[in-house]
Amino acid sequence: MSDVYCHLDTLLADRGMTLAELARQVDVSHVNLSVLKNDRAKAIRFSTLIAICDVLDCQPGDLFTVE
Amino acid sequence: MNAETDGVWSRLLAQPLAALMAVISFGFAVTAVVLPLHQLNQDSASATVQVAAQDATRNLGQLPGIPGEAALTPTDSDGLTVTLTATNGTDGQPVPATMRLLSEAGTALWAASLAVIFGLLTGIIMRIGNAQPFATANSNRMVAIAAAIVVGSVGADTLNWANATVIYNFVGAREPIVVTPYYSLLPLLLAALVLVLASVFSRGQRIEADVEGLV
Repeated sequence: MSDVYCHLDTLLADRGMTLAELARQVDVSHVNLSVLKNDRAKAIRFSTLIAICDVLDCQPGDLFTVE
Repeated sequence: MNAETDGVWSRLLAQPLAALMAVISFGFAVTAVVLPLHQLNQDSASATVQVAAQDATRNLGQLPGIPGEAALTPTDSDGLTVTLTATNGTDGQPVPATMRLLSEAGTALWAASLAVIFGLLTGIIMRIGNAQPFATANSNRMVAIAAAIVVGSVGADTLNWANATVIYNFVGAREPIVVTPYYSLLPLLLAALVLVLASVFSRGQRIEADVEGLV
């Protein structure tokens, strides 16, 4: 069965941004973003996805892959 | 109030509240044991009986249905419900131990049920304090609370009715003193309400499972 993998760490590294800073800008808790980054999230709200994509200037496809 | 402070507040409140519930539960458990034992050491038994409406306004001491060895004391201001106390039977025999036990059996059963109910409430509050209000155990506890309310209420009312009938016959009481079965509806409504709450908690548990891992 395929899994969803999150590339938040790569996107953050490319932009020189920390998880804490992203958490502050998207107004999502550091813990929740850490869950997302470490592929432990089971679902993501559209509002969270839009906020992350806005801040990181990326598309959902850049953030996730299904493997 | 955000989720984190709410959680701390819940924990701080839950522990003393759960401790209080546990103490109350223990108190009722002790009462359920001590009441019948205490009654065994008495030489009388009593029950709540009714006075027919047309005689309710008369002096209780002058009612024709009271045998010499029994006493009536009003428990209602209108005098319709009275306590019939027996110290001897129709032929002078003492009140048997089983009758004295039965005299407090209804109250003891209610006390035992309340002990179970408050014990289960302790568990529910502890789970809420641990930020797990919708745990399966909590909805199961609520179903058990509803069952305890029904068993305690119906059981106590039935035992009280049986006790009143036994004492009535033992002392040879007759009309206008009567024994009427009485079942309180309020505890049954309360049990139904608790069952509704249990289903709400059960649904909450499914919703919680749905949003677990949601960011």
